[in-house]
Amino acid sequence: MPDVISAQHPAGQKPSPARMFSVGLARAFGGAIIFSLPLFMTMEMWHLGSYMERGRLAGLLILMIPVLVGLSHYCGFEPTFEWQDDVVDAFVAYAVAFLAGAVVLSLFGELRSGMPWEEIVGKLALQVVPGSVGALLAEGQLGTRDEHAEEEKERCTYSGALFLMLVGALFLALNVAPTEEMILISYKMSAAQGIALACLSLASMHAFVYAVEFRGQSHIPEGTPHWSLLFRYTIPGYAIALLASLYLLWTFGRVDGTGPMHVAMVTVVLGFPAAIGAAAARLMI
Amino acid sequence: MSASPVEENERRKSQTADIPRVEWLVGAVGLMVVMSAIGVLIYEEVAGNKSPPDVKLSVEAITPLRNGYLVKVRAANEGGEPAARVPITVELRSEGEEVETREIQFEYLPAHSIRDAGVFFSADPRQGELRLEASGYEEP
Repeated sequence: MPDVISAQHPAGQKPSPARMFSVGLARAFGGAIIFSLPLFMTMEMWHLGSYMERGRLAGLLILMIPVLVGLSHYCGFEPTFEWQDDVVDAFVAYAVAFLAGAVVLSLFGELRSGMPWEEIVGKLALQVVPGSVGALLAEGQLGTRDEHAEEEKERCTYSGALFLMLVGALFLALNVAPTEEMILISYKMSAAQGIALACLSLASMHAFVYAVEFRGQSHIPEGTPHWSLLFRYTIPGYAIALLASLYLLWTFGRVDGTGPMHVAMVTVVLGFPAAIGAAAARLMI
Repeated sequence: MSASPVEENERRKSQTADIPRVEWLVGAVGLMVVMSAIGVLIYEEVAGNKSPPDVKLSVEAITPLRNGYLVKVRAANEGGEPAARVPITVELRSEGEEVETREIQFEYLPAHSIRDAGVFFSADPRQGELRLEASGYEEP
């Protein structure tokens, strides 16, 4: 244990890079499990993993690469300075999440010997998506960092803010998107309730945007009028949340052959957690 | 704290001018995305079709399998309201006689949407006549 402590202690004896990396890996493994636990225990994830369209699953995994690289840039296993390091970190996160998924799903009896390998790969690949985000964030959440100052500056740029909103939206939406309940809720709602939910999502997002400004984490100068924040942060943020929701629903085959009214409705339903995730990401990550 | 309204206005104006044009552009694109989603819902609320579920069934394809035949069935809900748990009876008739009957169920049929399913028969459906019937629905 003293070794682990010294890994976090810049004042103490400097630990070897290999030691730091293995501590980072252990944290990443924990992060992968924490972030994907709800989805490990969601029936639809197992089913989707075995039957969802392979091309769309591959598309989701490929899309996650730039997302993870970007996320690593803001907070990863190691303080990174070069984009090559971010790419390596992203793939390490993928590998850790793959391993975590294999361990947990085997324990749950969801992966058995004798299963067709397409099914095994499909189930694992789908679980890797939330797990890899958890693996990358683990250091940001659990560990301590010395290199904060520069990153704080970077994540406060406009594109950094939009990127973090995308990650938050994808992550929280992904936690509920596979479930049958999204579809069911959208059928139970009237169009008027859908409009009200969209307004609630926008209002909650705006409260978060305002809170970020209030905490002084953003580069927005004091006294910026509300409508300007609304137009430049809240509305693009909600648009990102809606597009991320629609993308996930399409990936899971939830909107195929469905009329525009229900596509809009289920997008707004999933857009609610996505909006909260998008707005909260800037406060928490 | 006692900036005159004119000064206050000037200060705001200069700040607004400092904001890069790309941020306004992103805002405009975002507004378009949000308005298109809300727009569909508003259209539905104001001028939407509130007719009850109206299920149109059709046979899409008949494929011979190793032992039997697959009949691909398509259900299109042309009404304005969604239907849940719609049981479908597919009857194969030959020379006025019922040969085989199969039942399937569509879990959800949203308004103006199509869903596909398959039915297995052991006799060749191409030699007879297929009759499709939806017997009811649940409100979701």
